[in-house]
Amino acid sequence: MPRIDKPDVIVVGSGAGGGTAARVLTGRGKSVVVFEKGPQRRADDFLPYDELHYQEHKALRPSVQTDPLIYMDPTKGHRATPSEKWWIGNMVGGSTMIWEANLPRYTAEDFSVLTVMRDSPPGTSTVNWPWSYEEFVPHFERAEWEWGVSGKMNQWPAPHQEPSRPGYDYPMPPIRQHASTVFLMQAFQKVGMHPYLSPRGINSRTYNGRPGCPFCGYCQGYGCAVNDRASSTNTVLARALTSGRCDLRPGHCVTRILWKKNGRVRGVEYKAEPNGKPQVMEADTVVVSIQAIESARLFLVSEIPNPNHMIGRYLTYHTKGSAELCFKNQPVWDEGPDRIFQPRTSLGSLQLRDLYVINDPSTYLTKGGKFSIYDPFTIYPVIRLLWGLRLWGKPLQDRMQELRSRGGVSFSFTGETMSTWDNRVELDARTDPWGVPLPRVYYEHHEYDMALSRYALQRVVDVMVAAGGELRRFEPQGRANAGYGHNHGTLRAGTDAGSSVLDTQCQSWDVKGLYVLDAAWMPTAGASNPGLTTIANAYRVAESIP
Amino acid sequence: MWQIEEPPSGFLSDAEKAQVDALFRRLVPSDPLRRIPGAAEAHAVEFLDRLLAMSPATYHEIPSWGILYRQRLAQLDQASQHRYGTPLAGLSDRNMVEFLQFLQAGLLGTASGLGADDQKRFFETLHRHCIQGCVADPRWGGNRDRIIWRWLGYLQPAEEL
Repeated sequence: MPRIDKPDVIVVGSGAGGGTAARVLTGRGKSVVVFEKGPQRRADDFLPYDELHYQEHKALRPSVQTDPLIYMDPTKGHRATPSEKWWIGNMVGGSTMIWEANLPRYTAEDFSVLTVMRDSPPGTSTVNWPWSYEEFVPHFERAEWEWGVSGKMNQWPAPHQEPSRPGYDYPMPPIRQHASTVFLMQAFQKVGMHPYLSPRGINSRTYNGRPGCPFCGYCQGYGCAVNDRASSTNTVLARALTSGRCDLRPGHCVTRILWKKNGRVRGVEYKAEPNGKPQVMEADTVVVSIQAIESARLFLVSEIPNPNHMIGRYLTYHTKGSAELCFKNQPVWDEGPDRIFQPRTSLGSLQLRDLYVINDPSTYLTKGGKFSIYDPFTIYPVIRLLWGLRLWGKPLQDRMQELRSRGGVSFSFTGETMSTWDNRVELDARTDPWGVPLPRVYYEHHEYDMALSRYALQRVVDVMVAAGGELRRFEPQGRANAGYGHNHGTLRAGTDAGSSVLDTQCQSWDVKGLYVLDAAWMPTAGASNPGLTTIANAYRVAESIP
Repeated sequence: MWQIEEPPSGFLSDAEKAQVDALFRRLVPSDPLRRIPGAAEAHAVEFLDRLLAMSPATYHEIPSWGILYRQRLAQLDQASQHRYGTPLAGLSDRNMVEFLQFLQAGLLGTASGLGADDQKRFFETLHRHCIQGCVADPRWGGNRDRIIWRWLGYLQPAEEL
């Protein structure tokens, strides 16, 4: 790896957006320095797999003691509460090192939410994105092939799948089906709904020199020691590094973006260790991609001009919700006599988008969301599974007996989320170990979010009950949200400088040469896992950076 | 590769172990008739005894848990004496279930010297450690011989024990 001190471009963050930007820019002949706050981790650091060490004792997470966000909980009188940023992967590759790699595309309905919602619910700022789904298609395709997404296009004549051009498909077939797949497909088909095998950044067979997934059972929250799950490090960042034009600096924290009075970016101030001396590196272009809350925080710390006071505003976490059912007549799902299904240590295989747009005269709800469908027995390793039941004594014993012997299904909802002015990131008086003020986050879900979550969950529960299921858990979105992995919108992109922070190329209106490629640019939340769309946008922008 | 810490000895006294054992046995009970293993067969107490002897390098909350258990077990013992006239470790199954229900709801009363929130919080800690002791990887000292995994069917088909 070359040592570069005067790069063409500085990239802050080495995850989904930063890694992709480094790959494209080095491919275009530019020299790039990538700053990454966290350390370089390898397969060795993820072994031996252990739920207590990695999840319960949080070995890979930012410490809630020293590096939390400060949540101002509206249900507790906006009392400041330190909240763990469990979705931040402070390491080379960022959160792509610990994600579940659920990689659907956003759809046309996400790009143009007002074609579905018709008007903006009271108290919200609902806007169409300034790009179309079609404009993103080539970038989605590149993302799917370079990152390695397994799946299958257009499995059903169902709406709201990822529409593709004729002849296109993912580079790999979907991962092996879960034993419940046929049963669930038939149950939903009876009411005209069509779950389908989900696209995953998980190899279903050897691809790009990485093996197929062995279904080890340790996915979200764990590093992939097998290397079958796509990350920035085993895809785009690896390519950037082989170009000879990329200098990756782990353990280097950018503490400030530097800009000139003439409205151009100057470079960054950074530290090589928490108590180190601030140093300066200059470049004509700076790309920030450190997740939406952190980007807004860095903009605020750097005192980026903020004429419309929009920096940090319109933060969105996805509307969530989950439900779980048991099928009393169904023996526990397993891999089957010929081992054609996923073993018990895997997640499930389906997603459902029939409620992406809600056409139901009985409700005012219009834009809906997506379900990921899991096996309640194996969605998490065992500690989290049993702890999550919140049962003890005889009731726990009975539920364990049921889980080991009866099949079930678990639904996880990712729904459209209203953007409101008051949901925002500010700076707290406290600082992190690098001396940077902590983010202070105000967040309260809109009535629409909560009604949507409840409605959508009830719809799928009704179908499952008709198919013989008994409800075991029903948890729609509540008003408070102390933090959730999908965070977007704090630096909205738009066509008008008066009502956005970034232009349509995700460049700051006020500091030219400063780009943001994490999901902070998303004008609205959309209703699917945002990873692939974030990556596709990084390809789009990085190709056009002058 | 990370390596598990091997503390030279346990943290709890024999009397404390007996108290935790009595609590854990009702949180994750066994059923010999239906051949269901619980905290006793998993040796969940051994798990806690070792965990509390580990350093904050393993997990930052460990030292504060140690102090917490030492204090709370004595307080719960007092509450048990006061309410049932029996030490905690000697409570009947029925009384222990009731005692745990009170603790979970923060209703043990002032004789324990514990406020309602303290009671609820300690129940959570106890409950979580008990589950960890039952189903964490056996390298941590509980889930002996993978007994709960084998019965539950984790990483293998469920076994009849």
